[in-house]
Amino acid sequence: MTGAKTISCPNCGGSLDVRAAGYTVTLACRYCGALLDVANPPPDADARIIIQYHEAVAQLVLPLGSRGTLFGVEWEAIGWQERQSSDAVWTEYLLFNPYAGYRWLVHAEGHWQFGTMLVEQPERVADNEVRWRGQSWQLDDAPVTTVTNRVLGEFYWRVRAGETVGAAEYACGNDTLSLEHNADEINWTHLVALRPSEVRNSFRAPPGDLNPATDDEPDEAPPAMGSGLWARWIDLPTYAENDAAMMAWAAVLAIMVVLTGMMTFGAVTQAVSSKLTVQIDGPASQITIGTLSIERPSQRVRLTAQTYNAFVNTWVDCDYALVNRRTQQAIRADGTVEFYSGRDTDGSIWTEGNHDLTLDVSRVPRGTYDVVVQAQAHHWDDPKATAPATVNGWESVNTDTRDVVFIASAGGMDWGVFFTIMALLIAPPVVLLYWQFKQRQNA
Amino acid sequence: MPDISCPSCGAAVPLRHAAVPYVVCPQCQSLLLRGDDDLRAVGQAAVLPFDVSPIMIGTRGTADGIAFEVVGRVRWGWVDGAWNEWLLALADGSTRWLGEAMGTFMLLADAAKARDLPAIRAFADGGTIAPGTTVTVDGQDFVAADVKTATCLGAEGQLPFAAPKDWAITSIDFRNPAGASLSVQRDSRETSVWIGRYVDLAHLAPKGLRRFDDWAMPHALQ
Repeated sequence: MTGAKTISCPNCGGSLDVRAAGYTVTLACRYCGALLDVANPPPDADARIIIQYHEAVAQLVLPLGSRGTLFGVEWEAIGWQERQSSDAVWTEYLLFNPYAGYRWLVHAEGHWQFGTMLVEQPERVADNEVRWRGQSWQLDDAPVTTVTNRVLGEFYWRVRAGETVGAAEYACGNDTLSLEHNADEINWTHLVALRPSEVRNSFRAPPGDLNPATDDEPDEAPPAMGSGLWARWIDLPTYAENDAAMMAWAAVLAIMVVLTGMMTFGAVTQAVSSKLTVQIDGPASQITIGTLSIERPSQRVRLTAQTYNAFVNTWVDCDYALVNRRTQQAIRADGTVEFYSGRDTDGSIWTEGNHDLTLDVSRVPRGTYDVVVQAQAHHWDDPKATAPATVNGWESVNTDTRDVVFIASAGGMDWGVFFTIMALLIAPPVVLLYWQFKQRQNA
Repeated sequence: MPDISCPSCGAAVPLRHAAVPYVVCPQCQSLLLRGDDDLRAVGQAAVLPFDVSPIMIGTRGTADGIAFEVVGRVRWGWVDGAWNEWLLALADGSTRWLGEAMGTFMLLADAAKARDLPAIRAFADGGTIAPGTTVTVDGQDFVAADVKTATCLGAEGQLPFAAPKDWAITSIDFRNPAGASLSVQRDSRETSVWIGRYVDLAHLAPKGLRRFDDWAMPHALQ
């Protein structure tokens, strides 16, 4: 025997499970929203219509019938209501287990709380303080009036939209005692905070949870439940359905602004170059590449050394100095251009290194600089070489001198920085869109 | 205790507790009064509507330290809902009621002496008790929380009274800050008073609870 009893909605004919049969008094049809009285049905029907609704019913984060285990007990979400006070809107799920009775799951601005109705009454100590289970609970905010906006599912009392109660909350640590009262009764509920992931990971939608009212139409709503990053994302209080797409567009726009800005301010303002002939294994040669004037408070200087095909099994140590004409202070940078090639025992040719060397000196302050380079070349003898090594068989490598062209430029686009910015901007929305896509596929 | 046949339909009627006079035939819902060694049909009980109560006739457990068996149930309906009252037959020969409403349980014992309290005596004589009225029983204050008019929706098993259809009562629930409760019920003939407290199902150490295909029995109740 199952715990549920099936009835048909007298308003729309939809098949409804009464999950807490015998306890349930009011049931709001999940298909048409009609409010039904199942406690006192007419003799020839399962339920009597209290209020007819034809509005689309709300898409719930936890579809009614979802089950999950909290505090060691499996609970089924059987009822849902949206409530409002002067400054907040939140939703409350009624949880049921035939062996454990009812609990509440309150969802407000991404936060979840698990509520248990008290059978005893906290003792009033002062206007803003009560005692319960040996602890002092302090009034949190001024008491408010709470109105129920919408209801769905089943309830053990006669629930209706528009109902108002007086409410106050008392806090002790992270726990809350919630007081609700109307003319007839006073109810206290003990609320403990849950992590959103606890709720998401625990609750599973009932199998085949489809809303017949929208069966023929594409499902436009986001998946009600998810997992992983997507689930944590939709937990956020600021979450809206098209967040990820909006973020992607904002990222693309930001990238274009950054690109335009960087290209404008990163243009090369000045460049000088000189050719230096260095002698292999000879003494160091020195040349003044040229003079750069930095007009901005600071600018990047890029130093490039270029060599050509004949530059094989050779390395050139380059020591740069940017000498400020006014102060004679030098900013130094050094690097090595090196390129090696040889033939392995199996006959294949290997290469290592580059024909070019680029060094960036960032934030060179305003001033006029003589860019000087001192270069010294060395040759490396391949111990495995049986004949003079060649690259593509073009030229012998054993000439005595090599030409190196040095270029010094102020400014220039920093593509590395740009691609880093682009990756950082585009990654979050792309990941979220991917999750959204996956969730829709699974839904 | 041997089963006896229902005089109306011939079905076997299980009897679990000797001192309870009425029994409802599980087959035809005839309300039967036990004689010395037979049963006499005295009326008809309503068919109980389906509910998901975890208790059933035959559930065993411990109340106030004494083993019990559930032998009967009466179900009451009022304008805004319904509740069950389960009759517990204790091993010492006494009985308790286990009230079941909105998923909570109250274990109640007869408090006959409280019928002599002025407010309750006045109520028994046809007067009213307004919500908010305080009565003191065994040194505890109880405040009248709600007053309901209810009718019997059905009954099963053995009962200390006949539970005819449309049997109407007035029921008053009194509450107490410590979670104790007092229940006063009046029908056309008499008034009864019950005192007790809210209990967790697990505190009754129940065995033989009703099983549902789609619900696992919580570990605490296994």
